[in-house]
Amino acid sequence: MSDSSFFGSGALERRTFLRVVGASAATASLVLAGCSDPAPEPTPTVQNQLLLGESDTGLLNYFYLLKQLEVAFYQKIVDTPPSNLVAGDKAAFDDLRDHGLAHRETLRFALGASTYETRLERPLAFDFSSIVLTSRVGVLTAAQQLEDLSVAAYAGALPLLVAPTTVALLAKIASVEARHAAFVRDLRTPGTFAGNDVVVNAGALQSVSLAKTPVQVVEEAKAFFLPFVVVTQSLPSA
Amino acid sequence: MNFLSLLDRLSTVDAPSAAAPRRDLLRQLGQAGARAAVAAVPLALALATPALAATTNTSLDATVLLLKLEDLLVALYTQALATVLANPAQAAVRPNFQLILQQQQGHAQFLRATLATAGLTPPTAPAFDFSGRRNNAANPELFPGVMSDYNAFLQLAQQLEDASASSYLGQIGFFASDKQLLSAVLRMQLVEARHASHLRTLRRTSPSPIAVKSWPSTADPAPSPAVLVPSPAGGSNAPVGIYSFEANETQRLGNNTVVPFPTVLTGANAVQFRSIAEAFDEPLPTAQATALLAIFG
Repeated sequence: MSDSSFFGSGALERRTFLRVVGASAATASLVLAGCSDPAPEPTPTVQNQLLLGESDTGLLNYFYLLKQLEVAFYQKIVDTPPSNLVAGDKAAFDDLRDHGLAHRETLRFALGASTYETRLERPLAFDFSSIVLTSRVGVLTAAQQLEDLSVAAYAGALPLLVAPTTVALLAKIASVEARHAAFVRDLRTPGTFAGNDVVVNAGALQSVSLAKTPVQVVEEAKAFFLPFVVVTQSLPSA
Repeated sequence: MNFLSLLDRLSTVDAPSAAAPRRDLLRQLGQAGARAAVAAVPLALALATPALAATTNTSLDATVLLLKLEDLLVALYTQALATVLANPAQAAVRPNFQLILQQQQGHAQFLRATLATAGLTPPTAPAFDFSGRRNNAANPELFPGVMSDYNAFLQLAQQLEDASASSYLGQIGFFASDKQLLSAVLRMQLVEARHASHLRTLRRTSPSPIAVKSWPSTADPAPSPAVLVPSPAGGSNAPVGIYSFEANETQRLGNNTVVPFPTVLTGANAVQFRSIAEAFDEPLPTAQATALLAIFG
């Protein structure tokens, strides 16, 4: 089989190829074996890979995954608050968790049967071993990281959506995320609500939100998804 | 309908639908060279053009609206830093407002450059009057003490920053065909939301604290005096406060399906009853955003 027919094969599209290049040597050999037969679609159950899908559905899955992470984080704090958390903090974390639930369930409902989870045997359990959940400063630091990351994720990926109605709905969520981020930053260090680490100049743009691509966001958050690896190659990039 | 939407309407009569989004704005803007000719179109013709009412705004109209909004916020903080925020009692928060002012100036600069680059003469900032007197001492003072009393200032600034975040949300639909400009507008909106959150945090932590959350909530004490805008019901209905829009608890998907919160937010997913409205910032429609700006300049 020639290279040209390999890439031209309708049965093995570019996205599928990208999906499998990161797989283990064993899987790679399966793919190579597949070259001798143009028909078979490689089985999509590559171990421990989270596939988000393409286009708007893929982006919705991306936002859904990030929101699941955020809610799981706040749920842990609400369930087992650090002993030095003060009363006002607890009420705020209740609010942050509840807003997150409303966002998460909106995204889940919008995805319907297209959630990435339909490809999993069981729901994802996020790994929080990389952060400190037992002190006020620990949870505020982590909350700031997650909220700032979320805002940058919306700033980077909202314009990639095709459907204007989806942009409009998610922008309403993103706006509240930005309020959360500023709130948590002010709680940690008053006056840092819009510091120059999160509000940037970019070319002609002045004082705009920091924006990150899905690749950058997933790279920063990858420890939370372990042992799973989130595959972002299928998402739109422009 | 306003001048720019008429302009766009005329320019699209024989133009192909926008295949290249970036060019779309440039095409609209390029038509600005025909300003004199278009301005000469008889009013009767404009009135006779069907279905022009209020729904035909373009990305240009939206840019002009957002520029006036940013000019208003620049004026608010410029005036306040020279008066109410010059009080030594506010020394600790003064740098916060200097930062916000600088960021608003950045937004205004970008929006002005966007218009200028493409051939329009950007409007100059009006002389904004935050007393509500419209620069006429004979008019009643709608917002007393804004530039002398810190709490009165914070209360108005909170409403204007919340309205700013909401006005951006109300305009993003007009940028759908220009992804670059859409991206810029979304990223400015997120900064406005951070400012709004901070103003609310300042009110909550001020020497005379007001128990507002950092996001609009039906639990917030209502501002008084409130910034009022025309009722979306129109006609002779009484004006409404900007937070009437934020009380919305219904979210819709693109196909107009309502997200069934009562069904999906139960059991382990149950939330406090105010959280559904709090979780979404709502757009301020163009008519209301325009009317709000007109209160001050």
